[in-house]
Amino acid sequence: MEDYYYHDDEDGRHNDSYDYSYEHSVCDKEAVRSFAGVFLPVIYSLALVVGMAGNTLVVAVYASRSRLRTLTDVCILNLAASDLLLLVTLPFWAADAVHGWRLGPAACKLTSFLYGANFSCGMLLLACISVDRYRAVARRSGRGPRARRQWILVCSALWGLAIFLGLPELIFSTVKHSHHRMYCTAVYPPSMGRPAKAALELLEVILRFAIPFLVMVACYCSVGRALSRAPGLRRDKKWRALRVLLAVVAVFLLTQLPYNVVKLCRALDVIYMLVTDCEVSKGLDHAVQVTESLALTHACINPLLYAFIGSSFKGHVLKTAKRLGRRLGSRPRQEDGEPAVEIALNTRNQNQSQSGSEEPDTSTFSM
Amino acid sequence: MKPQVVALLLLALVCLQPAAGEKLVSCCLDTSDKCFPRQIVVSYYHQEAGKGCQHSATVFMSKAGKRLCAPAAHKSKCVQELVAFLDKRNKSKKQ
Repeated sequence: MEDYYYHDDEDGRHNDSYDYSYEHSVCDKEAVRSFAGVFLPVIYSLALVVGMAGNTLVVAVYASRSRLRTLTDVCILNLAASDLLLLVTLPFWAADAVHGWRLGPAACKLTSFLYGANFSCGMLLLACISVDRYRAVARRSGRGPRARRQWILVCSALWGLAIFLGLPELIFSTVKHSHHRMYCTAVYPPSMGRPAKAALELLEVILRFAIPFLVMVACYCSVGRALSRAPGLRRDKKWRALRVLLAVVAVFLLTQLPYNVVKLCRALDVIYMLVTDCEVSKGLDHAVQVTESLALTHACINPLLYAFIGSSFKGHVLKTAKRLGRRLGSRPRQEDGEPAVEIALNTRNQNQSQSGSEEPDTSTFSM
Repeated sequence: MKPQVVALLLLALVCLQPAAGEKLVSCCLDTSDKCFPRQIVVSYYHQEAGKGCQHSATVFMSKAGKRLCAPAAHKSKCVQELVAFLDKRNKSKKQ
């Protein structure tokens, strides 16, 4: 690209009315860039503060071995760790939105990889939690050393898959110079066909949104049905548990659906070149920024939805604080941990099973 | 899994757009089929599809400071002529 300047000709102020082809001039994204430069840092800072606080608390409480009694607990711990890793990348993206990427290609690759892998990991873990809750209701979840081995296997598989999903970003992200700014972005081989690219954007929507969502809905529907049928359970307790399930699914849908709809629109645009209007193109860019930020807030809400709600989290926070206090030499506080709001879902053998079960709380369903 | 499926999945993953990678590049979204008169253009650059923009195009800077979108040079004779004209003018100016 080479820029030449006005040449000194006869009529320096040539009839500008000739620039009639406004619709055929470059769609200037400067306004969108300035919007991103303000909007993203604000939202990302908020997400960073709130998300760091919540997820650090979850890690602190769940990191003790005794707290990890089910696969769901293990997943909640992993989810918090994954969310922390995702949140760590936000200051870099905020800085990128304000004055471009100045940290070099290695940092660009690493940050993109962390973002992609942990975004996927969070979605996979949410699906895994729903499956484990379903298994708890269906009385198929195990305990003991064998179960622990199984947990490790499941978690390694999920992290492996998430890392795999982040690999393309690690490979193709690079720093690009454009419009007097450096950008950290992915540059793909030009040989790649357009429909293939779009199809693959659809695949991302499927792997990161559609499959986890369908798994969650299927599992929580079964859990909800079992819960509402469970005999010998107080109605308010039932209702409370159902509300939690509803909130989990609703929040997932509310935060993830808009972003994925926008992504689908963009995929369609890539295939069919639908957007030729500059205002529509800018609108789509704004939509991507707003909905992606919304999707990211999920990382801040996860501790609330999965750890703080329902279960005896408050009691555990106090216990952890006490333990830390003791370690630091200060006097222990008085313990006023609430009893666990764990709902015994003895769906089938409420009355028959007593001595036969391995452990008394095999069928508890903790939320 | 069948090897074809694995290969397809791998190919798919290679081409996934990173979620955070949408960069706001100013692009030509459409091109004009009309020929721009020589008097109004001062310079040009090529916009390549796949490098931040979807379309291939030739962008002419007008005297009024607007960036006008014309088809890619290989697609339009009038663009080729205009590019050749600007190259020649620039060369003669440098000398």
